[in-house]
Amino acid sequence: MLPKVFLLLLGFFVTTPISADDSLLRLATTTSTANSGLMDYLLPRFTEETSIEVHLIAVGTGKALRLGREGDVDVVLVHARAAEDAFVNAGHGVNRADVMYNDFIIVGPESDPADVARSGSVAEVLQKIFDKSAPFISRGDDSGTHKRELLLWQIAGRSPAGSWYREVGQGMGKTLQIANEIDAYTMTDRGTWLAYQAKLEIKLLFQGDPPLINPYGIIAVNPERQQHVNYQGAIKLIKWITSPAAQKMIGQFKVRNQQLFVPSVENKD
Amino acid sequence: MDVLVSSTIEAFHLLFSGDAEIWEIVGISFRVSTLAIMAAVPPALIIAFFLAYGNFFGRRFLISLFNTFLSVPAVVIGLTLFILLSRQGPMGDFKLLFTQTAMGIGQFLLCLPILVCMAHVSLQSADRAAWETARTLGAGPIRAFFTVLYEIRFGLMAALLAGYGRIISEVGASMMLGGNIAHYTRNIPTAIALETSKGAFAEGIALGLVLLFLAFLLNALLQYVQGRGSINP
Amino acid sequence: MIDALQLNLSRLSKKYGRNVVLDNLKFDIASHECVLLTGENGAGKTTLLRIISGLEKPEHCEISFNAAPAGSWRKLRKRLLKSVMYLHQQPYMLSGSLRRNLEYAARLNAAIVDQESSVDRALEWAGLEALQFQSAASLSGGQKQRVALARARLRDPQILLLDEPTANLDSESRERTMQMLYEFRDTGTAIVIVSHDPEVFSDLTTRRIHLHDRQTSPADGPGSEVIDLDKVRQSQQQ
Repeated sequence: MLPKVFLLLLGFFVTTPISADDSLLRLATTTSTANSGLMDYLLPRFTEETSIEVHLIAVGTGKALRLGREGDVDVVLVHARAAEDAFVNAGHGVNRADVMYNDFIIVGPESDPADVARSGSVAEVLQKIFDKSAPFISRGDDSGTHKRELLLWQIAGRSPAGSWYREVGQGMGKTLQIANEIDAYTMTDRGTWLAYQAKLEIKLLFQGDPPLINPYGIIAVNPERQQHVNYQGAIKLIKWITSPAAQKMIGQFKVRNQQLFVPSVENKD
Repeated sequence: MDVLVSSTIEAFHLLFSGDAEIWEIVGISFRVSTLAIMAAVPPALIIAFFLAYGNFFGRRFLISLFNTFLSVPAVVIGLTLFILLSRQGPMGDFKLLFTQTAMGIGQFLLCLPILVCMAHVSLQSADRAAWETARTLGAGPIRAFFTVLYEIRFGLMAALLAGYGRIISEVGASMMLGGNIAHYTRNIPTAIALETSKGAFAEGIALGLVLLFLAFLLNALLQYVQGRGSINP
Repeated sequence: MIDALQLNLSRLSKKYGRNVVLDNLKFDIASHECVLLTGENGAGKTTLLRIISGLEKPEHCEISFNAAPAGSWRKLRKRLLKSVMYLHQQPYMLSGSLRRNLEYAARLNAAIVDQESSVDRALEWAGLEALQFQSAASLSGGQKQRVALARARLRDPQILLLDEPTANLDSESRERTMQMLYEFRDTGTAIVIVSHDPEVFSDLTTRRIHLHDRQTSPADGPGSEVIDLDKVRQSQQQ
């Protein structure tokens, strides 16, 4: 009885029309990219030009790459260079291209107890926080941002531990709110910061050091590994997003009057 | 406090200025959840009926099992289905992950135990004589089944509302299975999660208000239905 | 008038778990008969009625209709549900009005052509016209009993089984119920009545059976045809 009901039901669901053909492309990207609004600004133009509808799935970098590896999406747009290279080297993805970059910043209480605002490098910032045991909030969720933060600690030559270092396992917005509530330092991408800035009392304290640069790459899922993926669509998106027109759009995209992303491809016009 | 007040005011503005995106999200929520519960009702009633009237080995075990499913977190259902529906999973060929269908299946599984358990309790509290009276008056099993359902219609309505209440507000499974894709699988709860993470509190509160209003409506309906039930058992 | 029916049950046994309720029992009933079934509490009277009506499955039973043996229990149950009707001690009223209860029964009887007038006649027969639009659940015990009998009239079974039909009834309802039962018997319906109160039915019944020690035996007393062997045995021992 039960299996029959289940099959019937499955039949009901499967026969409901789902558009899964060449005119549909599944793009997994990071929450920060999606939340910035950049994709809502770019993708309708792509759809207009190519008639390919894009389903945007916003997850953490780790999950996005995993979705690509498993063939659940056709193309990924992430910011974790080392993980991206590993993904391509393992044969899960092909045709990786640089798209754009933005940067991370260090924010914290206005009083700046660790005196990080007047530092020469991000390594120095982290060393000061470490030495003072000043409260620091880490994403702690294995996201691209979290990975970058850990890399920066490595560069600073410190391994953070203790009650002042708190891993919250939450998204960037939540992490900023927590830092705000308990007067702690944290590292954030500029996009989320701009979105939240008005609601927060913590301030931008440090920016501009090259290790804080955050490049975004786009990778098509390898069609030899996953025969069913919309590879043609993925290639079209990669070509389009690195085209002069799209790159120009990226450069013009502003949140609260601030440019958020810098296009990676040299614009010749 | 300022944030709450200003966000709420902005939320009302968004709702009543006819912000198309918000109403699209509301529409997707209703569509998916309504289809899911419609699909869940017939099997739930049949299962509940067998649990209440059947006399087979493992009946008690099944009852406990369905009661246990009541407290399974939605994300666990979401994760299990995610693994099953993923391209590498056993049901990957159906290409269901990140579709409304996947969300629907998740919500179907979430509301099924509620419907089964509550319908089962209603059936148990209904007099066994209801079924027997229908049968002795010449009704076939199917006719008698519907007669009993009619007799316990108030309890069933309560089950339906409780089940709907759970899935319309559920975020974990919908997020995992639907992927929160704009204009496609973004429903009220996943949109609230997204807007909150973006810091767009007004949009989050506006959608929260829709849910709140809906919950109020469902509860009012439930009160009304139960009131009727007590007057006319 | 209804088709004549002869129902024979033999070697009937029924257990609830390990508890043997009926054991190797024999029971016969035919049209125009009215059997009074007596026995102590827990002797299995209700169980027997429920088996005959097809509501409960016995562990073992040989049943024949008009001397033709019936097949599997599934077929048998279908046949029993079709020709036998069991009335609960406390009749269940379907939700809605009294009239709806009768309409429900009328709709299920394919032989009824004009449902409305059949329901009207049944209401009149049971003396319930004045109450027909009342909620059936709000009726008194005696009124519910009459609704159940009116439903049975519309169902028109060949065998009617009643479980303590006059228990807890006021004298007026009791009289009315008796009158209705006479009319059932006079149209040829076979009737089995379980009762603790044999005197009430002495004029109605044609035969009495006593259920004792998980077996049937014809009962003693007025109206009985055969002597209760158990009682004989007991009195001999004394």
